[in-house]
This record gives sequence, structure tokens and C-alpha cells, in this order.
Amino acid sequence: MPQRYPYLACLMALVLCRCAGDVQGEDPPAASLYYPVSMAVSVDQHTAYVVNSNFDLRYNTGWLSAIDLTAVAQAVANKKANTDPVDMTHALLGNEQLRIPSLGGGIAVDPRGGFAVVAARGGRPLTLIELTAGRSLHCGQADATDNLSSDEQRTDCDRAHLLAIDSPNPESKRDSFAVSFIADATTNKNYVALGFLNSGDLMLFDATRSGATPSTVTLSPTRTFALGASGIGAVTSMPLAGNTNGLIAATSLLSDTGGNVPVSVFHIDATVSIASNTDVVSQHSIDIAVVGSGLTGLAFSPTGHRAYAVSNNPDVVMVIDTTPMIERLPDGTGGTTTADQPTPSFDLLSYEPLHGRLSDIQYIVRTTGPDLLAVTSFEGDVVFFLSVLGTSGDRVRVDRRIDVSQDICNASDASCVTGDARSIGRGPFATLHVLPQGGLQLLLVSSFFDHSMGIIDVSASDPRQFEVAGFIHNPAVEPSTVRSF
Amino acid sequence: MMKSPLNLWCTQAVLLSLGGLVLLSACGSDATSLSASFETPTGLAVAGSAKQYLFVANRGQDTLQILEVGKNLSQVDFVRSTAQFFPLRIPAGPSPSRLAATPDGRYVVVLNEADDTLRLIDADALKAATDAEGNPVTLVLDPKGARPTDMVASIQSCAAPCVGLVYVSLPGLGSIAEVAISEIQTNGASIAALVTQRMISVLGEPMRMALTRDGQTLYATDAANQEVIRLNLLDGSSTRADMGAFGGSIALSTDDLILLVGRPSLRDILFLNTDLSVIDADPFFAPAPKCVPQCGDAASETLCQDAHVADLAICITDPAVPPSGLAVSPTFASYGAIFLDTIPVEITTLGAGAGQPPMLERTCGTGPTRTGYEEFAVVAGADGLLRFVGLSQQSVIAPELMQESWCTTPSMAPLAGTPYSVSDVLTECPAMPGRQRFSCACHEGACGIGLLPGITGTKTVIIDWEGVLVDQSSGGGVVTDTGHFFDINLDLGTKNILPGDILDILTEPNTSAQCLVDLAGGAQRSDLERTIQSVTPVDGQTQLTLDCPTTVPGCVRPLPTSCFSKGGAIGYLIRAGNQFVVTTNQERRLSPGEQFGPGLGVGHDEALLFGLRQNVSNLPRTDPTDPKPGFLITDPFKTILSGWSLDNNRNPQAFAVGRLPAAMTVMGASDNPIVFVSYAGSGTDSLLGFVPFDLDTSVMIAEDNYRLIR
Repeated sequence: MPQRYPYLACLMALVLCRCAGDVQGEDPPAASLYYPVSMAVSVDQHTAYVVNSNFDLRYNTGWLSAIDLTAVAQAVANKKANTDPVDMTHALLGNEQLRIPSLGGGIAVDPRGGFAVVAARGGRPLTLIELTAGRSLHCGQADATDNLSSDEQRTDCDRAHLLAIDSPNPESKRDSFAVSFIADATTNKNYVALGFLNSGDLMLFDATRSGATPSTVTLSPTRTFALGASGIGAVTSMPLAGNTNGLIAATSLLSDTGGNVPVSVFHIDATVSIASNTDVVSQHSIDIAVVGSGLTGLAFSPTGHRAYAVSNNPDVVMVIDTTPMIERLPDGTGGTTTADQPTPSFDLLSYEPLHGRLSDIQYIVRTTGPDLLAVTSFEGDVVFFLSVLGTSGDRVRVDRRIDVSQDICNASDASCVTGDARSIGRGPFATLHVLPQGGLQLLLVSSFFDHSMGIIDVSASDPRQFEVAGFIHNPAVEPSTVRSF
Repeated sequence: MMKSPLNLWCTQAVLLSLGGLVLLSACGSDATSLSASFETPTGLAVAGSAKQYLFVANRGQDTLQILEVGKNLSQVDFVRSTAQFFPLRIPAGPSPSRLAATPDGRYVVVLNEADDTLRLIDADALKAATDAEGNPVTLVLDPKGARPTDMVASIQSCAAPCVGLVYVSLPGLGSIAEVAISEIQTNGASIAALVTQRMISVLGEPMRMALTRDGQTLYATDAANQEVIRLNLLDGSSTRADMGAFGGSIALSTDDLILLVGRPSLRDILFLNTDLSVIDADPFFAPAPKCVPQCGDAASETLCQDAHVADLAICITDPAVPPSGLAVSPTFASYGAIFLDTIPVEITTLGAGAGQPPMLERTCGTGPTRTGYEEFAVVAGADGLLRFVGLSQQSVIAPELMQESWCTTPSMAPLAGTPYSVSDVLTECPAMPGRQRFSCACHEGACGIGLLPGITGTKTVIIDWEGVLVDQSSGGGVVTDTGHFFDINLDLGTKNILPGDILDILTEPNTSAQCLVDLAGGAQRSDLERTIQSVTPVDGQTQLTLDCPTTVPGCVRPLPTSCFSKGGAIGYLIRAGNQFVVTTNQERRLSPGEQFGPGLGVGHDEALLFGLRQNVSNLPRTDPTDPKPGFLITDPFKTILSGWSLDNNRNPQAFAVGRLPAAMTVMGASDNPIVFVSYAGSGTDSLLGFVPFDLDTSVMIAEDNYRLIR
């Protein structure tokens, strides 16, 4: 799953100063969501993981929640059509809540299974999570104190699972958010690609295992790409000719301060870069007129020949041509120069204007009808479903729009507070497409401000029949009053 | 003599556009005396039987907003609601995207993408039209999954109770829906209805559409095939033609004889006759080449199969068989579209109509007057700019991208003090194929070619033969007895020095026989030059190996340390050996025979491409104190765009009035139209209105002709 920059970074910056300090706060509540910021699904599709960012540092750590997707699927299957969304909070596995550093960012699960990584702001930008059978979450020795700050001691992680990066410019490696796994079948290597918000650096870590169990994984910094952008918005592997080609796509969040580096997509060949000890990076400015300030999400078609990106200001879904093409040009002396490798052009093909700070995009492959894009509008409080039209997927159109519905919670219901989300909550941010048992297709939508999650059944062939099947909520906490930054 | 409207219009376009900058705030304050703003305005329509209203579909608000347009653009304002300070908003269903009006102006049809419905708005009452039960008139386009995407209205009237027909593309069904708007009067009240009259199968995924004025032929692009569809609405039959790429926006000339189809992936517009044969537009410009096959070589043609068709229209000749270079491809068709270098998002046409005098006369100097274009296509690009294409009715003249100063060709003039002429260093148009793909501009026999339809303006190009890379004339260089050289103050590794470059020693050596250089005794400055053989980092410094070290037996030009005082410290220059140092936006080293543009190597950023001559060995060099040799290139080509400003060098620079154009429509009579363009997406939501030309009056007040409402 591609990971992308949260629009929340600005506010995060305001609270960063507190990261380094000793935050006392309350202990995280059991079985609850709190400013959920990113999600990932286990390889067997049985469990979804949610990073709770503890965005306002109310609690003394952030935490990782696990959701039993089998229980969710069962509840969806039992729900009658056209009835109110079902409370599925029971699917939140309270016993598997793992305390991790606050202000977490993206999460990525190793496609081989067994472990996940979570990005976070602060001095230890990457947390290694072991995922064992039975949905058990581990982060090393939970009560470890050695070489850990008091904040870090409150997590369930030991030093080996809280990665610090040795860098001559440590400030450039403090602010990670986007993270993704990159596989390289040629060398049989697996990497973690980590993007930083404040430096535009993208780091590769060798995630090769020395043994069969997750605990044998060590993450070794392998290469850093200084992309020259003011922050990395999204990082994902490129599926051209398979998903194990060592190709990375990353987006810049902003142009640099001088405006010399426009908002761009970067195409990185990790395999050749590492083998040749040379950065093999091509930068593609999509269209400065279209992309104003930031590519916050990026998804690829299964062939890798089309990319779909969302940006802010203006809010737009873009269709981008990523068909690889070789360069072959006259050299001015009668001969030709030919590029060694075909390179995607990243030319803009079309766009669809939407509204409300688009934050995430998810490509959903469909067996009936056109494939879909799910797009969240963070300030618009909307989840859009767009169909991918044409044989090449060059056009998208809005097929369905699900608006946030508020105050479904009955005021007389003592189990909830006013505004408690009983559907898609406010500030829909991250999305996760999952395929649990029973042939269901579900889209999980985390709601940042309502500390909740909406579960949309997207199994129907007609998007107009999609409905919010259920929700996971946090009745113990008032929804945030923060609505804009 | 007949007045040339274009000249007038060009002038006003620039003035107005400049004025438009000022107007952004002025107009905004005027327009927002109400608390009015757009939110993702993706649809526009002109309607109203008593007054002329512009209806705007706000996708982000699920509403329509309405602007009343008076005699000119200064009289455009939101229609107010009954609530003070707020504009009228008409609920329009989820995600209203496209609008169409009936020919009598009584109704506006709203296409709602999110629920696949049409809704009907009473354009005079400015509210939703209602059925007999008083419910809003809504039509669900069955069956589900039809995915209505585009909608066009017929301007022809239909038999009562029908008051209009609209056509809706349904890519989910491979069909076009014909929907009738009907109206009956009951007890003095209008009862309206929307009825699907026909579902016409055309297969594929029909997307954007254009309808002839007689309402009998509909053209559509197809997302499933790289084809355009021509649908005969009388009998429902359809034919198709290959477009070479997927089509996007589409429009018809006002005489219905020319079909314009935007091709997003190729960033151009293709022109078709009514039989769907291609009109060979002289491209004039093409994209900078990316992949050009070898002539007649199937392997390289396969290699370049995904290249732009403009690349495939040319090929590289066999270098072993002179003259080598580019030629017209024997395999692929000539490139005959108008290249814009941006996605044509919306196209609309403006014309005086058949039989009217030309709207434009093109007269260059004292030459013969060329027949004018009768109409224009206005093209809104994804870059936010508006471009204009000249069209000739009945295809008498090939469509052409309109430009200012179109009688003037690019020119080159040497900079003061340049010791050689343009033709000494520049070639003719580099590798020009027989058919014009590029424009070729010459001066003194040397030429550059235009590549991209951009704005070059005036550029200074420094072309310095064996130009100075390092100037350390004040000293600091050290020669060693081993034939090496370094600088005690400067790391030469940072200076882009390559083997073959020249160390030009400025300090005069002593006259000992060992030094073999006696400038006073007749030796030449060149005797003090040494060719750099290698550049090697040594202990944190960069050391140059010279071509004649004393350690090499038989070297005839030794230069030991003892030839200079102070342990060999000398003043020196390092020159690019046998190369030009070409400076445009950046400094680059280029060899004779290579090409350059004011931007990157093959002109990706700029409009011109130049070739350097092969044989330039006799060119004089310049010293650091000499004026830099080079040329001033003036390319007057400026596409007629929606906005202009001046950069720091007083060169014209296009600016986008808005970003993300979403819809375009025309209001008013054909000889005095007002064009409206909406820009959609948070942060760019706005509406631009402009008068593209005025045949009768000069334009003195910018606001009358250019208006941006946010």
C-alpha cells in the first residue's frame, strides 16, 4: 500500500517540540482509536493495523491497533441491506494494542509477512513491528529501558525495534512519514523505502532476513536519495512488469523554497542505484499549472502503465501516463544516442477536479465493471469513488460520493457522546481496501477527527449500491474540535 | 483598407490580459459584494428566455449559481437570493457536472454524475422545474452503470410538447441517450418532464460529444478505442475513424465542416472533415523529439512504437550515407495536427458564419493579402492558458495556431564585439526534414528551428569557442617538474575540467634554454599552452597531468618548475579544449556538430533549436577581458494566450488566468461573443469571461473585455 503525507504535517510541526520532551500524559485507553493516521492489512487479509498518531499528545504514547477482519466480515454479512451502519467496535482487538511512539506516520506490511514498519516523527523515525501468528504484535522487549528516553520507555518497544539513523545531518532524518516495501527479484533483496517530510530525502533500508522468523530482520540503511524536494508526499513501489522490480515512485509535497524544484514525481531504480553506487533517479514535473502544492497520494494501475495521483490546492485527481518508453535521439553528428532503460514519461493525460483537501487514493481492481479509485476528501468530509474508464484508463469520473454523516448517535444513547461517528466520521483521511473472507470487498476509512473508522461494503458491481456497513468508534473521547490548520 | 480585426484584437488581448491582473482584485470585490464563491464549477450553460443568464454547476456545492450578464462584461453579477448578502443557489443533485440549455432558453438540464440522473431547472423562474405533483423533474438514466459523462443540447426546436433535446454519452453502456424536455401548460402552470426517447448503441465507451447545428449528426470520442464516432441521428447508424490516439475534447466549426478533436496523450488537436478524413494542418511546431527511428529500420521503429506520432513521422538517415540527418519517414504518416504542448481540455469555436467576410486578414509587408480565417477555435489547455486556432470554412486554408507578430520571423544578431558572424558557428536548420515539422528562422545563412509552441522572447546566447572555464590570471597555479599542475587556492576538481582541455599559461617564463619559450624572441603564446591529459584527485587537491611532462623522454616542450619564479606559481586560464562554452540559461560545453536550444540540450524548455558547425577550428578565442561573443536571438512567436506579463528581462511571459479549466461556453451573437471559462478545484475555482474580438469598436476599458470572478 502506498503511503503518503498527511496534510497534518503543519500542525504536527507545532507539536514537534513536545516530542523531544518527556510527555507524561495519560496511558493510552484500551481498544480505541485516536487520531488514526494510517492503515495496512496483513498478508492473509485477516487483520488490519491502524496507527493511532496521538496527534495532540494527550496520551503518553501512540499505539498500533489491530482489527479482526473476520469479525468485521461476519458483521457485514449479517447486516441487512439498507439498514443503519452496524457498530463493529468489537472487532478492535484490545489485547493486541501495541504502544509505539507518538506522531506516527505511514505503516507498511512486509509482503512476505511477519513484520511491519511504522514511520514516526522524532529521533527514531522507524519502528519495526513483529507480526506473529494469532495477530500478536511485538516490538521487542516491552519493558526495555536501555538507551531509551523516558518517552520511548513508555512504548512496548526496545532499542532494536526503534531505529535511529546515524546521519551527519540528523535533522534531515527526524521527520519521516511515507513508507513502503520495495522488492527486487533480481537480487532477491527486499527494502524499506522511507520518505522524510522536512528534507526531501528518501532512504532505503535493506530488509533482507537472515532467518525464517520476523525477528531475524534487521533494517540496514543502504542508500539515501536527496530528491531536492521540500518533503516526500508519497512512496510506493512501481508495478511495471511485476511488483518486484526494485522501482520506486515518490512524490514531492512542495516545491523547494526557491521554486527551483517543481512539484514532481520521482522515478527511482533502486536495483541499479545500489549496484552502480549511483543515484538512478528521474524527476518528472507533472504540470505546474495543475499541481499547485503537493502530491499527497499516488496509486498505480495493475500494469503500472497509469498512475493516479491526488493533489491539494487545487484538489484534483490526475491520470498520468507511466508507460515506459525508450529514448532514441539524433546526436547531431549523424548517429543516435539511446537510453539504456525505457523510462516512464509521467505525462499528464487528464484530471478530474474535486474539492476539500484530497488526502488519499486507493486503486481498487474490479472483476465486474471498471476499476475504481477511492479518494478521501479530508476537509470536504467525503469519500469519492471514481471509475477508471477506457481500455487504457485515461479518464476517470465520479461514480459515487459518500458524505460524512454526523450525529447519527442518538443523544439518549448513553454509550456515545454528541457527534460520535456512527458512520464515516469527520476528516476521512486514510483508506484501506481489504478482501476478507466471504468474497467481500471492504474499504476501511479512518476518520481523523472523530477517532473512528467507517467500513464501506464495496462488493456490489454498481458503486451506487455501496453502503457504509459499519463503524468502529471511540465513545470515550470527544471528537476533535480542530477542523483546519 | 479594411481594418484587421486580429491586429486590434492582439493588441487588446495583451492590454486586457495585463489589465486582467489588476482586475483580479477589482473584479473580485465587485463580484463578491455578495458572499459568493464557486466551488468546483465544472459546468456552464447560457439560458433564460427573457434575460441572459449564465448557469454555473458547482460540483462541490451540489448547486447551480446564476450570473446575470448585461451588455458587457462590466455588467456581470451573481443573481441574488432572497437572503441578504447571499447569491441564489439552486439545489441541483449530487455532483452536478455538465449543463445544457434548451434552444428557447427556458430550461437547463443538469447532469449528476454521482447518481446517474438528469435534473431540470426552469431558467426563467430560476428554480427546479416541477412535474404534475410538484416534485423536481428528475430522470434516472437506466440501467445502472450507464455512467453518463457528457451532455450536449440540440439547438433545433422539436415538435410540441417537446421543447428541446439533449444527448448524453453513456460509456457504461456504449450508448448515447436522446432525452427530450417537454412542457405542457395545465391551469396556467408549466408542467415539465424529462423523457428518454432513444438509447442509441454506438459500442465502445463514448465520452465527449459535439452536435451539428442541424441536430442530425453527433460526433463522439471513444475511451475504449482510438477512434472518433460519427452518429447519424436520423437513422441511428454510426461510422468510425482511427484517431491515432484516444480522443478527449471535441468541437465543430460553426459551419459544421471541420471537426476538432483534442488528443490528450499527444497534446494536440486533430482536424477532420465531415467524412472523418484528416485535414492536413501544417503542424508548424512539434514536441522535442524523444524517440526517432532509423529510416526503414523495423527494429528501431518497434523501439519507438510508443513515441509521439510527430517523432514517428520523421526518421534518422543512415549516417554512413550522406547527407545524414532527419528525413520524412517512408513508413509513417506525416504529422498533421496542431501541437499545443498541453492537453486541450475544452474547445469551442467562434465564427461569423458562412458567407460572412473573413474575421481576419493576414497581410505581411507589401506581399499579397492572404485569405483570412473565418473563425477561431478557443482552446483551454490543462496549463490554464487559452490558445486560439484559426480555421477556414470549407478547409480552404489549413488550420493554424494563431500567433502574434506572425509576419515576423525569428532573428539573430551578434552581440557587440563578437569576433565572428552567426554563420561561422551555426549551421542551417539542423537536419530539417523535407516537410515542415518545425519553423526555420535564418540570419546570415545560419538558422535555428522552432520546436515547441512556446514563448522565447529575447534571449542572449553566449557561444565562446574554447571558452574560459577557470580564470586564475592573478596566480595560484603551480607546475611541477613531473609535468603536473595544481592550484594552491582552488580545487580544480570543481570546475568541470576534462582531459583535452587547455592550460593557457599567462605568466611569462624565464628565457633559459630549458624553457624553450622566449616570447620576446618570437615564440607564440600557444607555445605556453599545455593540453590536459587527466584530472586526478590527490590528497584533497585536484591535480592535472599535462601533455608534455619532463619525465617523458623526447618531450619537446618541457616546462619545469624552474621556468617560473616563486617555485612555479603562475597565472593561468583553463579553456574548454576544442569545444564551445555555450551559455543560455545555464553553461554547457558543446562540441562542434552538436545541437542546443536556449533551454536544455534539445530545447525541452524553449522554442528554438540550433546546430553548431562541424568545422570551426579557425575561430578566434576570447580572453576574460574581451566582450563575451554570442548572439541575441529574438523569437517573436507568441501564441495568443489568455494572459501576459513581463519577466525581469522585460520578456513576455504567459501566466495562467486560472488553473484546471473545466468548462467553456459562449454567450451572445456570433459577431460579438463573450466566452466564459470555468476553472475548477479548490484554490482555483473561478470564472473567466472575455470578449475575444470586437469588429466595430476600439477597446479602451479593459474591464469591458476581460473579467475574472472568483
